[in-house]
Amino acid sequence: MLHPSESRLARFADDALSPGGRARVAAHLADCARCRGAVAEFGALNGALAALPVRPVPGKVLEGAVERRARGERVILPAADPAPRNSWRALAARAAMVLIVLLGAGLATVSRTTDLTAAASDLRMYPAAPRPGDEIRVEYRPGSLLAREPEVVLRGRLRTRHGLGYNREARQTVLARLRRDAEGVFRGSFTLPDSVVYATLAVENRAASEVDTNLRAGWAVPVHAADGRPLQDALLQRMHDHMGRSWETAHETSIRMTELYPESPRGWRMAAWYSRQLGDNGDSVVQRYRARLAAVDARAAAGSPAADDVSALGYAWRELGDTARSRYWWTRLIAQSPAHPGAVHTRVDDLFARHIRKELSREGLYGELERMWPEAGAVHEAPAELALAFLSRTDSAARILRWVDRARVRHPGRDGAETLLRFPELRDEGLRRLRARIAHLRALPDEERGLFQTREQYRLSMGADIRAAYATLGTALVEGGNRRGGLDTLALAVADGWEPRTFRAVADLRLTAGDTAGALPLLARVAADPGTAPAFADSALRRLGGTVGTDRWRAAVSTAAEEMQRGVLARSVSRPLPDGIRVTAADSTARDLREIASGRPTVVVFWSRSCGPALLALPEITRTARRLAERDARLILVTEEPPSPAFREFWNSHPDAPPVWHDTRREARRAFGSFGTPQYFVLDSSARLRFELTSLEDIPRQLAALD
Amino acid sequence: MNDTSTESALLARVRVGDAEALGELFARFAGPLHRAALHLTGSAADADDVVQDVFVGLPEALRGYEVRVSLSGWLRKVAVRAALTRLRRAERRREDRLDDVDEPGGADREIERLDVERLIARLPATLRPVLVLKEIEGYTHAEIGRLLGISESASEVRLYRAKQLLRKQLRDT
Repeated sequence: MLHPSESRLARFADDALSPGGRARVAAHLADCARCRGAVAEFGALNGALAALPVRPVPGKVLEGAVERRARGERVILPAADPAPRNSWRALAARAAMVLIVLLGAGLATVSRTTDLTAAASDLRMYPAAPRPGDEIRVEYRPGSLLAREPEVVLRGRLRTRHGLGYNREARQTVLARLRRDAEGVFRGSFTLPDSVVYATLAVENRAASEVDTNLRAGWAVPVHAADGRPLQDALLQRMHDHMGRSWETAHETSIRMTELYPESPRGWRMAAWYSRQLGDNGDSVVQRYRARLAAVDARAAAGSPAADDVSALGYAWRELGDTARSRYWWTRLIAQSPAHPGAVHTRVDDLFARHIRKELSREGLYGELERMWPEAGAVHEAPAELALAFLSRTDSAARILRWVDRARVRHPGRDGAETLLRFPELRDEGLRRLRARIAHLRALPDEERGLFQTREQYRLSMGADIRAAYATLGTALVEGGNRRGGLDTLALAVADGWEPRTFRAVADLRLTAGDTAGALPLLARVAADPGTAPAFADSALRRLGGTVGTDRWRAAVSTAAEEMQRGVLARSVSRPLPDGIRVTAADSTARDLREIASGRPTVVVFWSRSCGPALLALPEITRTARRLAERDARLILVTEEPPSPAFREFWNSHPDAPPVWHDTRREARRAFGSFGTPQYFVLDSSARLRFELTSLEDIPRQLAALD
Repeated sequence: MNDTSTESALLARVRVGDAEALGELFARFAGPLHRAALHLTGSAADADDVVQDVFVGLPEALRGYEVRVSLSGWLRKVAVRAALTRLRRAERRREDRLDDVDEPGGADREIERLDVERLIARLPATLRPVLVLKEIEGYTHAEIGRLLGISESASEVRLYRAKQLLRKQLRDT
């Protein structure tokens, strides 16, 4: 038998052969155990190389460097590849950035909470690498946004090792009040609770009418271990904190975790997960992760890994498509630590699968979940979520209430009112919880105000939640026979804001109750909304019957359109876009963004092809762009990725997508204060920024309001 | 902390020679630089010297750093070049630098990390940098070619020679 050369086998293990070459070697390997062994050894070698750790550097190295500098010694280092310098473009870009900062400084009185004006701020913490429970000294040098305040408030979102992904249910805490000294520097200190592993900070004035969000990134505080590395839990919580707002940062953090803790499977698990979320999961990436995880796996299999590591191996292999390996670690985890969150999740999945395969009756399922709850309930919500999914009217009120309340253990904000309203005997309890929810929301608890929100933004965002709760409460009251009370409550649901779905639902209820006069302004609002099909007007008129003529209908729609414009514009800003923000086209031609955006209303979408949510949104973005073109507005995409053949190839495969501009120097991103993708901004025809961080759904009415 | 403005402020302090800021930068970046230097030179003492040199020269070198380039990538490249410079000098002096790495623990037959580190240190100086830069530091063959002054295909050939040698040595241990 003619064997491939060793070099060829090594290339096979690296996935570095051409498809044809790879197929030929693969065919040989099918019959040759010796070469299979060689490939396995090369794969294991790759894994071992990739897993070589970063070790702590002896303290004497830094001490020596500081001493040598103190003695006046200097070392001329071999420079890294220099960035392009001194070209007229680079000089122009620098001048543009200076202009942006200067313009921003002058805008403080024009627009509130603009990050542009806070961009020059700086927050320093000592120690920079805090240990658990450390006191942290803070120095804050404000940009123009907060420079005149005598005192500012340092708020934080604190995360323990059990912190959940996203920040939807996060609580914020006032950490310190910083006082301004004679030099204009705000100083203060705070102590992190021992349990906190990661925090994100923001600075605001006492009235919370201005917030310095550090370009919406906040300031990060990862707690460190004694060896100087950030704790693994700190890195994990950093990822959770960035979920949904910057997937790229979360992904970078997962990669960093694999660099700092190459022997721990927890980083590999998260890196594999984020790679899949961001679409960076081609064959070569998966092969690389598999090789590296194999080395970690081999060490863990031979030792006594901690439950967190066993769980991570189960998750990581599942991400990488090796279900057998994943199952091995899950089984081991359940035997070793049945109350570990990963084990609980797996046990619940298994129960569900057994029920679906009809191996476990519905009552049997509830019996298993009841038995599991005492040890599992505090660490994972999965048992309660599965129980809630199978509730039916045949269940006792006690069982329903028990599982609804168990679902609140880890998510106190989930009062379960909507679930309770489905069951007649628990309807009163559902109504009571809805009313309690409304009272809670109306109180505007400050710890629930988003870290980057001003008090006014918080009030507006809570308004939408309160109206939604009123809509549910009013509907439930009408369905329960309390028509007057229900309609009065529904009036509160539509008294403010602009939510066509709620208008339509309340109008339906009013029409059912015979209240044509009450339904008319609501149907007119639906008709006035630019997202509503023109045919809606005819059907609305038919439903209103002969009591409303065409003239009265037109007048109602006209009034509604004015209402909409007032309501939408109340949430607008007005900020000129600075000159000098240079973006480039695919052929590397540079243009000024302000010039591109002038003459017509323009929607600017910050977008990335390495961001899963941005990729998912592309078809809807494309449809919106087409609709905007029909009304003489435009939509452009801005990406930080430089022009390249790969990007062009991707773009050529999306021929209908809107035009894309490359913001390689991040000038546009800084000017808009954008952080993450996809993010949407609306400019008017004079290239003034009018709506920040808006949504595809709101854009049509915002453009209509600008007309 | 990974945000741009904090990093810019830190770099501004390092550029003017602030020792505390230099310490912060060291805490954040020295580990990966040391790992690269250790495997390129094959000597823990040389790696210490390379990293110390980098931090002695950093305040001045940072004046040539452009923020749009990743700081960690830029620093790593500086350290790699410093380590390669040191390696060339050492080669000229034909010094033997094999055994500074810690002793391996246990006698497990699987590929042990410390065995691998020791064997990397024993690779010929023509092969070791390619293996380290490609497999540990993640450089492409084009980048390696530019750093070492060799062609891309030469880099590829050396990589597989190094791997064959490592595999053979691992089988022999």
